[in-house]
Amino acid sequence: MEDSKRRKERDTSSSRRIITRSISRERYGRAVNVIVKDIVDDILGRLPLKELVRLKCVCKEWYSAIPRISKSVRGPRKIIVSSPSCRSLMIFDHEAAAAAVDDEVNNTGTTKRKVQRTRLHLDAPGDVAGSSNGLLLIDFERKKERFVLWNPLIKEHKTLPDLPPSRKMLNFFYVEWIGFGHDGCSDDYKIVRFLAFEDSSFEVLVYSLKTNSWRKLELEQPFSSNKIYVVVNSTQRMGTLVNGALYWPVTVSDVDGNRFQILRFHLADEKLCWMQPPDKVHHEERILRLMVYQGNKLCACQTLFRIHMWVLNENQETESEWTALMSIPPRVSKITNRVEKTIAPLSFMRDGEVLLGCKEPSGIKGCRLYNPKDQSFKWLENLGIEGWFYKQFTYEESIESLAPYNGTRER
Amino acid sequence: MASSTSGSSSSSKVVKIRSSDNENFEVEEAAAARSETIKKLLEDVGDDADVIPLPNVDAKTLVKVMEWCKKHMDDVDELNKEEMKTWDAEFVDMDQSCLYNVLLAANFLNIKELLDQLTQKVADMIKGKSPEEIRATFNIKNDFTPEEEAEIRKQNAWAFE
Repeated sequence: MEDSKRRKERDTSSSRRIITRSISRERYGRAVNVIVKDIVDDILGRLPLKELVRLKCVCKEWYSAIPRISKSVRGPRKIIVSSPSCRSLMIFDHEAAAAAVDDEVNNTGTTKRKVQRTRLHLDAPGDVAGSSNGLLLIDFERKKERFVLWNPLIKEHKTLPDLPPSRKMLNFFYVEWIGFGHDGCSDDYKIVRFLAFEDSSFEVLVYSLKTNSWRKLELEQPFSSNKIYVVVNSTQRMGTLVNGALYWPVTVSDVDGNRFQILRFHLADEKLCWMQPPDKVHHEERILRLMVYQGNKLCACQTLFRIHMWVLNENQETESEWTALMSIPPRVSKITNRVEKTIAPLSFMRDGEVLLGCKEPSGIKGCRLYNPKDQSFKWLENLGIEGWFYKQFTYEESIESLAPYNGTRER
Repeated sequence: MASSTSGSSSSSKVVKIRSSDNENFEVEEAAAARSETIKKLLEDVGDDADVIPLPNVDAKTLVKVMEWCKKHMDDVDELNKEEMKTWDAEFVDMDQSCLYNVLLAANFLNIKELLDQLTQKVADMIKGKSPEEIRATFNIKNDFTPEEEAEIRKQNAWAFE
C-alpha cells in the first residue's frame, strides 16, 4: 500500500516527464493492479462489518484482505438502554431513529425502524459496566461469577474469574465504582474496581484480559492514607472512558461540607488522581454527570434551571481546562406546569445536536433534539427507547474476538 | 472535436487534453483543474502547455469525467445542494464497465470527490448481495474448494445468520 502511495506521488511530481514521454502500456497495467487494490480496500471498507465478514468467502484475495480492512471499519455510535427487569439490553441507533422520526413526519419512510435496534438477552439480571471497541462488560452483581465480557456482534463471551476476597465483606458502608476500557499501550483490556470505605481508605483491583487475573493495586498518596475527606457517593458508578482514561463524578465530604470531585484512572500507567470539576458546578446539587463529547472529550453536565455542559480540554503542557460548551434552556412540563428536573442529555449527534430525554423512575420519556445553533427543540415522538433505562455508554460494533482469551462462542 | 466551453463564461481560459485514443478535447481550465493531476501538470508547464496527453483515459471515459468536472466547476451554494445531489446520483447510475473505467480515471486524475462518489456507488451495489451474487456481478473467480468455503462459513457463522 505504501508502495502505491509513493508511486502515485511520483506520478504527479514528475509530471513534466509524463507530458513529454507517455507511459508505456505495460507499466500502466502494473500500476493499475496496485491502484485497483487500493480502490477495492476503499470500497469494502464502506460496508457494514457483518456484510464485510460474509464476503470473506468470495475469493482468497478478499479472505486475506478483509481482516485488515475490518479493523478500520467503524459503524455508527449507538446508545445502550436496558429493560426494567435488567434482563435485556437494547443497542439503539439513535441517529437513524431520529432521522426516521423525521421521515415519518414527512410521510416518506416507515420500514427502516426495525434495523435500528438490537435486542440482547441476559440469563440473569445484569448491568452494563463498560463498553470499549465493541466489547461490553456486563456486571451480574448477584451471581458468583460476576463479570462477563461480551462481543454481541460476533456472539462471543468470556466469564471472568471471581473477584478475590475483599474488606468489603466486613464493612457495611462503602462506595463502589467500576470501569472498563482498552489500554492502547499494552493492547490489553482492563477492568478496575474501586471500593471507598467509611474510614476513608481505598481498595483498588485491576483485571487484565491478557493475564486473565485480578490484582490489587498499590496506592500512592493521597489514596494510600487519605485522612482528609470521606467519599459519600458517586452519581455514576460506571466509569466514563475517554482517550484511555476512566472518569467518575464523586461526592466527597470534608470540614467544608459536601463537594464534587472527579476521579481519574489512567489505563496505561494505572495511576489514580483527583480532578477539579468545572468552577461553575453547584456542589449542593445531587447530580453531576459525565459523558463523552465527539468521541474524544470528557463532558460534564448538570441540570439546574438550565442544563449546563462543559468540556475538558486536555493539554499536555499546561493544566487541563474546563470550558463551557453550552447551556440548554429549560422546558416547562405540560403536565405538571413545572420545570422538568429529570431532563438530561443522552447523547451528542453527529451534526452537533444534543439528544435529550427525561430520566423518570419509569424509564426514559419525552425525547427531543436540541440544536445549539438556533437554540431550537425538535420533539421526537416514539423514538423507540421510551420506558427503557438509559445507560451512559455508547457502542460501536467490532469483530474484536475473545477466542484468543479462551472466550466461548454462542451457538 | 467534441466538448468545449460552457456558454456563460466564454472568456475563461481553455486547456487542451488528449485521450489515450488520440482524441483532443478543449476544456475550461476551471473544470479541468478539478483533477489534481491536471492541475499539477498545468502548474508545472505554465503557459507552454500545448496538449496534455492522458495516456490512461480513453475518449468515452474522458467525456464522462469532464461532464462531472464541468458540473462541479463552481462551489455549490446551499440552494443548489439538493439539485446537485440528484444530479450526482443520476451521474453515477451508469453501466458497470463504464463505472469501472470512470472509477479508474477518477483515481488516476486524482479527483477526490468524484472518486468518493463512485466508490460509494460500488459499495452500495455490493450491499445486500450474497457472496455468490458478488462473484457473478464483479466476475470474480471462486478459488476456494467447497470444503474450504464451508469452513470459512462455519468459522464466521454469526455473519451468515
